[in-house]
Amino acid sequence: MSHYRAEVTRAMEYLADDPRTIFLGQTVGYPGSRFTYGTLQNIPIEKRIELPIMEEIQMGMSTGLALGGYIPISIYPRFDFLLLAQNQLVNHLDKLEQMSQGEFKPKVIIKTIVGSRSPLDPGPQHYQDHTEAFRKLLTNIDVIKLEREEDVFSSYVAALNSDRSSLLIELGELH
Amino acid sequence: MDLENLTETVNQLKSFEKEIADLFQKGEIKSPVHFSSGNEEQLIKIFRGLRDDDYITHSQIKDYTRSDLISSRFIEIPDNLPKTHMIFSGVDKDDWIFSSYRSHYQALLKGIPSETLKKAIVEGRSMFFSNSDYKLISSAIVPGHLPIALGIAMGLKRKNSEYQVWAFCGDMAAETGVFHEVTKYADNHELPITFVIEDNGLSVDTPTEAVWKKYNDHLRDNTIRYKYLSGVPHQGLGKEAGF
Repeated sequence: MSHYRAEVTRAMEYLADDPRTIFLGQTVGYPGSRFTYGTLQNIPIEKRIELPIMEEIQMGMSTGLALGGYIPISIYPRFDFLLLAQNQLVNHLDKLEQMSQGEFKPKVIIKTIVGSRSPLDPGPQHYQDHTEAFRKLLTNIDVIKLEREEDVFSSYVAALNSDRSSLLIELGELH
Repeated sequence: MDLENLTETVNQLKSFEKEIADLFQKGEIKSPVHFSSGNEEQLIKIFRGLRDDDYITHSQIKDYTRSDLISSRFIEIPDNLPKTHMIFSGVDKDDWIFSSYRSHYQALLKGIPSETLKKAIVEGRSMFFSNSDYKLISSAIVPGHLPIALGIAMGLKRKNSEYQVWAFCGDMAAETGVFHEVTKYADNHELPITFVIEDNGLSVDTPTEAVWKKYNDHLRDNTIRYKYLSGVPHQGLGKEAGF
């Protein structure tokens, strides 16, 4: 296991120790991605909700869970897939505090990964990095790109302790 | 509001919308407002809890025309629902309400003081009025509130809460993929949520059935529907306004 992935795994396990957290998305409960399932295997299965492919619903569901007192770790195995959740991310999670004049402030930790191009090149629908676009789209959600292994753990800890939602972007090539 | 007094509550709802319309007419509201009209009785009955005379079952609906359903003010419910289902007990004060951009009636029926709602509308928040004390969220994006409602329902179930979620949406929203996904997921996972389709046949001014050619006539066990004839324009008082 790379040092980077070991740090991601350590961060996931740290998050899981908080009773408020819950992990949801694809390949969180079943194998299929070293970026996701591969970093969650030691987390109790009752804290992991494997979802069907329904990216927009997943993000709205995460917002709803957050409003209900949870801290969802909403996982999108590739950045390309997160594009399908933009309505819930940009129009709802990012705007709900403003819409409600601060009455609703859901906190979601979103984890996604920029796909790796080696050893297999998956093509342009699986390795896009949209970090800068998301920084422009989002006004109330912190966007953090995890480019160094030494930043991984501390960034997830900061996201857990923040009162804002966070989008953490891992790099598949470092996994 | 006294939900047992149908006539009085209908009049209270209509009076509130009239008061807001007057303010809108005077130019005192600088944001879009979507008024309700024609669905007062159905909503009161849903909030109160359905009684035998209030509904027909899905299999009975083939005997009724759209006009019949509008004039009878029946609520269409799935076949064979047990009497313990939440639609027969109505909305609890601690239940969650999710609504579309047209939420004044739902807010008032949930118990939100009319002055609180009026203040928010005058300040420009009619289309996405939300209130944490009364657990009500609405969204100006169709059908953006439904997945959030689903998440609330999932959380309530995980915590073994006795409270439930009510998610109101229009007929065009009920034809979307999002609606299909949330109702399927909620039904299959037995989440404490009921979806209410408020069917006036229109999305803005587009006839839903005309553009889809055919309605989705399937009704899951977590969904009820009522048809009504809206007595007001889609937005404001009918005068074209850019927003």
